[in-house]
Amino acid sequence: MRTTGGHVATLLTMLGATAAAGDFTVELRDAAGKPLANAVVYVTAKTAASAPAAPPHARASIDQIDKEFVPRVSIVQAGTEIQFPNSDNIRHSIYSFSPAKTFTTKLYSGREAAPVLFDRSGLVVLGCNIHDQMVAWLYVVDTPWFAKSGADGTATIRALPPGDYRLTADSPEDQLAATESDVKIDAAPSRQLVTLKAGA
Amino acid sequence: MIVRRALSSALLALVASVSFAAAPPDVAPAGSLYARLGGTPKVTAFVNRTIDTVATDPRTNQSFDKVSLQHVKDMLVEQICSLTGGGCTYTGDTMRDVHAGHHISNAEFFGLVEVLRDSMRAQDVPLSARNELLEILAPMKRDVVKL
Repeated sequence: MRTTGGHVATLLTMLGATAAAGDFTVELRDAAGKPLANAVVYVTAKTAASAPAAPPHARASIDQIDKEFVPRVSIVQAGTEIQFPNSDNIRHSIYSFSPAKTFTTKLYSGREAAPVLFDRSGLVVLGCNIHDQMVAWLYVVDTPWFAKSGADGTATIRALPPGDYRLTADSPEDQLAATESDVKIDAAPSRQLVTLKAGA
Repeated sequence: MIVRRALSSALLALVASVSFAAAPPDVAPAGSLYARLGGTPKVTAFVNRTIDTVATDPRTNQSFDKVSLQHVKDMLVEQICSLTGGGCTYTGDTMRDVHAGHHISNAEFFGLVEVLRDSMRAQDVPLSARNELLEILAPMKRDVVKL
C-alpha cells in the first residue's frame, strides 16, 4: 500500500500536480467549454461541521492601478478588513451601494486610507465616482473555504475537511448565472467540473 | 392660526433650504456675480461646453483620460456657484487634491482658460462678469499646474 501511494505521489509530481489530501479543485467552464478565469467558488458545510471564523483583523487588499481595481474579483470571509492602497498618483473616490456594505472612501495619493470592514456576507460591487469605468466585485462569504480561478479556469479550495457541502460558483466578469450544487468531500483530493450558463 | 401658518411656512422654507443648500439654485440670488453670469442655466451651459471641448482636444485632454466628465461638470458648476454668491456649498475636493498627479502643464491650464472664455462668450455672458469670474479662478493655478 505504501509503495502504491508513493507511486501515485511520484506520478502526480511528474504530472505537475500539487493537490494535497482534501484539496477540492473546481474546473469552471462556460456553456461553450471555455475555462473561466476570475470566477469564485465557495462551500458551506451542510452537516454541522464547524467552520473556523475569520481570524480577528483578517486583512485583504484591493489596489487601484492605472484607473482599474486590482484584482477586479476578490473573495473574502466575513469579518475581513480590506485595504485600498491606491497605487495611482491621482485620487479616487470609491463607493459601494450594495446592501452587504454601503460605503464611500476617498483615496488620495500618498495618504493611507483606513481599511473598510466587511462583516456581512453578500456580493459587494465597487465603483469610483471619478472614473466611471472602474468596477470590482467583492464576495463576502460566511465560510473560510473559498477560492478564485486562475487563467486555466481552475480554483482549488485547500485542505477541505471531509463532509457534505453546498458548493456555489459565480463568474461576475462574464455575467453568468451563479450555480449551486451539493458535493461530498472525502479525505482524498477531488475535482469537479462546474458549467456556468448565461445570466438571467 | 396665522402664527401657526407662518411658523409652518418658515419651517418649510428651512427644510427646503437645508435640503437644497448644496445644489445650484433655480433662481440666482439677485445682484450676485452668479446671477450676472446668467445663473444655473448659463453656468451649466458654458461649463459643459468647456469640459467637453478640453476633454476632446488632444492639447488638453491627457488629464481627462477615463475621467467621468459629468462628475467634473457637476463639481465645477457647484464650485463656481459657491464662489460667486450663488448660494451653493462646494462638496468636492480641494483643487490641489483634484489635480495632484495629473501633471498639468501651463499650456494645458491656459488652454482651458481660453476655452472657458470662448464658452462664456458663446453664452453672451457680459464682459465684466466674465472677467470677474476669471479673476476669482486665476489664483487656483498654483493648485492645478505641475503637481
